[in-house]
Amino acid sequence: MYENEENASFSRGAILGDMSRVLLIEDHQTVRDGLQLALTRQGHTVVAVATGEQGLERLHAAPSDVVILDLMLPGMDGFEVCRRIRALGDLPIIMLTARNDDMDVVAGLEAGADDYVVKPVQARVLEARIRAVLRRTSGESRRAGGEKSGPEQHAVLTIDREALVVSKAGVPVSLAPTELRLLLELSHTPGRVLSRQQLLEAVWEHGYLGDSRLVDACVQRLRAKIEDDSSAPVFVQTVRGFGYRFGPL
Amino acid sequence: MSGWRRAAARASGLRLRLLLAFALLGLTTTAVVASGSYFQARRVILQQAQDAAVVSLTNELATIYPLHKLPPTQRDLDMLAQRLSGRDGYAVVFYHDLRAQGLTVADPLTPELRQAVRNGRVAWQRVSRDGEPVLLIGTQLRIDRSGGASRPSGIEVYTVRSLVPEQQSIDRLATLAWVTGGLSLALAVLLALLAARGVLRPVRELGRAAQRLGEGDLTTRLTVRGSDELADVARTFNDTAGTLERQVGELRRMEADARRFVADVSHELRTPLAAMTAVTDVLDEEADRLPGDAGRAARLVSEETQNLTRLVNDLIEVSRFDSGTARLALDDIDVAAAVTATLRARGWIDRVHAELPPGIIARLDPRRLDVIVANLVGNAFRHGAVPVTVRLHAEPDWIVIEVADHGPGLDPDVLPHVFDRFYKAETARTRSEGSGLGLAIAWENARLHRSAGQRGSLVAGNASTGGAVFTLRLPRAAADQAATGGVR
Amino acid sequence: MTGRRATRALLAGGALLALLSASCGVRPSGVINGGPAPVGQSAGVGVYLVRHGELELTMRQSGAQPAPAETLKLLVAGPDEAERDQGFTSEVPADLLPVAAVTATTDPPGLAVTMSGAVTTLSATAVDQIVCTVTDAVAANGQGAVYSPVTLIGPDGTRGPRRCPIK
Repeated sequence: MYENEENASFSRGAILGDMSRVLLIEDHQTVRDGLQLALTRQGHTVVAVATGEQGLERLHAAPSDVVILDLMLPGMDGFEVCRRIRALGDLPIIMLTARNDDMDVVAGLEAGADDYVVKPVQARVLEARIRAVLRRTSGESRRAGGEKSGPEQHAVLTIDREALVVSKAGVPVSLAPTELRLLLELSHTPGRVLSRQQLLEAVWEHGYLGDSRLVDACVQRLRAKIEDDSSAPVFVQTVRGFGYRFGPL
Repeated sequence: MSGWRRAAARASGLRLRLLLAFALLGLTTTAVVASGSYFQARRVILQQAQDAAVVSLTNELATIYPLHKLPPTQRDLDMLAQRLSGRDGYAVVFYHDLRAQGLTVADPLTPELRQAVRNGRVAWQRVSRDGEPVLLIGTQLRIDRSGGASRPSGIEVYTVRSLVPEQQSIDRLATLAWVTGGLSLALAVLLALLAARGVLRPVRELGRAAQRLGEGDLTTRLTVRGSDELADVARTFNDTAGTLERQVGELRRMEADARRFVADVSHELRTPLAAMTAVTDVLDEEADRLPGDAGRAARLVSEETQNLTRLVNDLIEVSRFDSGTARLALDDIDVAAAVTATLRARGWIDRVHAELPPGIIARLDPRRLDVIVANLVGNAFRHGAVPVTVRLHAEPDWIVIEVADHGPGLDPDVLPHVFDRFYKAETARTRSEGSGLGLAIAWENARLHRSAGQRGSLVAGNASTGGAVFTLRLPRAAADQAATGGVR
Repeated sequence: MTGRRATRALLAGGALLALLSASCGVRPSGVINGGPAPVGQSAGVGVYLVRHGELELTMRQSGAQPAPAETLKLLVAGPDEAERDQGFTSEVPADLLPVAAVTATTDPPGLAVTMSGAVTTLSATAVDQIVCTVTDAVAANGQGAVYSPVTLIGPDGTRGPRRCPIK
């Protein structure tokens, strides 16, 4: 096919070694068609649906690697869809927000989204975000791999960088890929403060000027899972005016 | 401050004038009335005292007659003097150069009085003796000759009577007059103060209301009291404020409608643009392979879609500023690193001369800083000339970023309008990257940063060496917070 | 503008106050003339003598009012001792006596006194002494007016008619 012939030349998705399966939930048909066309050309397998209900149905029927989710949906709204997908598991979610509205972004991140893009969005920007999110899911890690082997023990927290498993007091903790990456990044240098912008670059692979609220929202979710009391965090601590650090324990 | 002081001076000026006018009026009236009655009373008191003394003396003298012997002997004179002397004073009796003996006090008689007495009249005079007022009454003793004629006997009788009791009465009157005057002055001042308050309070209220109105509180109204001229002014003020409020409300409603319309249109445009933008990459990739006109057309559509997207995004951004829904997403950043990232992201890092001292931390919205710096540098490249300089320096509470170019600078006519929306500096503005909103958005973004009531600013000007200089000042709130913050 | 006006007002007020305080209390006055000096009866006989060249009334005590001619005799007798001590003199010669009662004349209306001695050589003061003493005595007896002119008649002629110069 035409698409397959061109695949090798410009599908940077190939570095993942596998075509990713993208679920696109977008109610506007032209936008849906346009994004589907563009992402398909990038080498993804795109399943496009118009409503949240259809999207959830689709997820039950066949697995996906990443969800692109419009927040403004008829019927069940994007936030609710986001929460339900998050309840199913650690599937990465990228929000599409029609308005660059702060309330929408914050609410979406709180609902569990990993990243967001503002419409209108160019295909290559969306593609870059998808790849970044997917890299977090894969075992590939730019920083956290290699040097150390075997699980690390941080008080009651056990972090296995190779198996990408985190357990607390022996009980495995289920972390979304972005949360896991964030934890790996912070725990790699315990006690050292990392700024939000540094974390955005390292975890989200955004340019320098990303939205720091992504970090804050993700930290909140991470704390809810690994801290005993998320209002008095022990593992992921805030250093006001600078950023976050792991420990000291 | 000067306005307040001016207002205070104005109020006190009016108060002072009213006070002076009342005080002067009270003082004058009191002075005229008090001094009039004082002089009148003094005249009456003295006249009564004098008349009584004269009558008393004449009555006394009537008992001396008939005279038996002339010339009188010294003893006669002494006896006469003794007889005429009493509680109120003493008598001096002369017979030519003969004089009643036994007087030790100095003789206060004046030559003019003696002359008047020699002329055959009863005469009196008030003189001051050792600072005490004294009444002198003098007369001849004449001897009756029938037919209404009389002959002088050569005996002159004077009584010297102290006027101290009268002086005391008059002094009491004077004291009373002074006290009355003082009281009425105090009363006048009090009345003046009351009147001034009565007049000034509405005036002050009017001033305050006018100031509030001027500051934009169009709901300001005055309470109308009474039906005097000030009440008329208050009523007129209320009517004016009401009209103003209605008209401004109307204008605001129309403006809000217009802005909402722009915002709605922009949002509506977003959906088709989202679809188009999604496929511009496809168009770009295919354009090279499409033959001739089709390829050019594809590139054109792609390019203009991106321009249109930028314009719509800018419009939406502006409408968010207008509706007041723009919010800061604050973060503590290294400003130099942020500016460098902006320049690098747009491929300008090698074309810009940047002086960015590291280690300047500020708490601000990195995305908005990016928008501002990108707009300023982009503007410098479009309208100015290389080299473009970006300089950063820090003040205790502020960071300052200067973006300068070496072009011809900004025309003085243009200068006040550079931050206007869609302002066309060049009449034949090239349809280029600029949406015409870039500098307006940069300006709004700068002002969105606030600290302790002070706002960030973006100012355009020209350097002394030529070329435009845009100076961005943002509050450095983060430095303060970092100093007081700690590990949570 | 306002300041200058206020200053002027203050100055005016100050001047007014100064004026008021300056005219306080009892001020010395000039001589005030009342009615005529009191006049009373005399119980003696009036005789005009001279003192320091001036005509001066003296009063002699007596029981009843004597006739004018008798009074003239008292004048001719001159000042008594006490009067002399006080500097009274008389220029009427001691030998000049009235030879008859004082009579009233009609043309001109007045009084006439006939003297025993020469009258033309009498000093003016002596004439005045006689004229005044005579008119007072006549008035005291209710026989004529004080202002009546008096003519002195002597063997050598007449003096007058003349009025008493004392008012």
